[in-house]
Amino acid sequence: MTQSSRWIYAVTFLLAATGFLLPFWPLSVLGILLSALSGRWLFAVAVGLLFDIALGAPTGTAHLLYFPYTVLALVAALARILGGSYVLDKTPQETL
Amino acid sequence: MIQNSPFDKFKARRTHTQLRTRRMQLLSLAGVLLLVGAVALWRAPLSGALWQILRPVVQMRFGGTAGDAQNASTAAALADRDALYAENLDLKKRLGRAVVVPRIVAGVLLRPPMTPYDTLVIDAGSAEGVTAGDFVSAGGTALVGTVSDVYARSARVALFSAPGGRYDALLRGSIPVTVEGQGGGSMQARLPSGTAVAAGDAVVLPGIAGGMTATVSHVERAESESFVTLYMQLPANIFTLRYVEVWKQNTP
Repeated sequence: MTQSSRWIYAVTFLLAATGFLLPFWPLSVLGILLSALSGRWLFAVAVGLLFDIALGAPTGTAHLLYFPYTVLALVAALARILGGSYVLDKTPQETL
Repeated sequence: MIQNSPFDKFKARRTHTQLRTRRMQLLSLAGVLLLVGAVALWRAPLSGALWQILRPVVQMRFGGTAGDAQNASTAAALADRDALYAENLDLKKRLGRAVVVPRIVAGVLLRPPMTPYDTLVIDAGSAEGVTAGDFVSAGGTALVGTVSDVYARSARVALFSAPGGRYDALLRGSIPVTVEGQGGGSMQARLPSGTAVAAGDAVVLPGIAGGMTATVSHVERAESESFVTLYMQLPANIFTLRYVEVWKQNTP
């Protein structure tokens, strides 16, 4: 695990946990989004699942999502994969 | 496979690496889907287990103090009482005994320990329609005393707990009891030892309007005694009273 990964894991988890404890859910969403968009999608999904287990399914129309935080993490991960092919690594430098 | 250039071997290795990465990604995705499925299946027990772990943290963060809990509980009990009282009045009205007690709200000018002998001085007097003998409540049906002296713009209220004061009441709405004031918001009564009574029982005034005057705080039973001694408290804290209601009827 690289040093930057450690920082990303720590910061995103802290953001999500702070959002839970304040309570201010956008912070949790931000933590999960950052984690997924930075490529740590497994971690983002794990945190999202934890939140979904703790907070339960939403009410109203959003109930259809059932796992909103996990869905958010997966969508963000998908967005990174799809968006990454256009934005990131456009000119990879291959070395022998 | 014919290799045309020295880069072909590298490309082939890269493809192999990519394949391995892709396989790993697919496996991860399958693992995540399995995990989500498992969570969906066992969400309730998992949630229970998670909250078991989180409980100390959440209690520390959102638990509040014992005073907050007590206030919330009191507010709920008060709301419940208000609903029951409204229902009680409605039922009496349906049965042809509408109980409408005109009330005068008054501020408490002096209260114990500034006044002696468990008395209050309130800022409403004869000009506001207060008359001697009117019942005084601390709010709702929590009666605390009667008006003893009336002045032009103020009045003196003798609390039920005033030393030497005696009045007849009903324990739990049915058992007649004579209550004696002991001072400091406390009262005392004696009942035959066979009487079913416990701490927390309410003492009410007889009459259609009723009104709670005390709650039993302690029951003293002695083996050889044929009577039990009840120690009671007024339904409100007289040392913190700010407002009272004067019931405009001599007999509620």
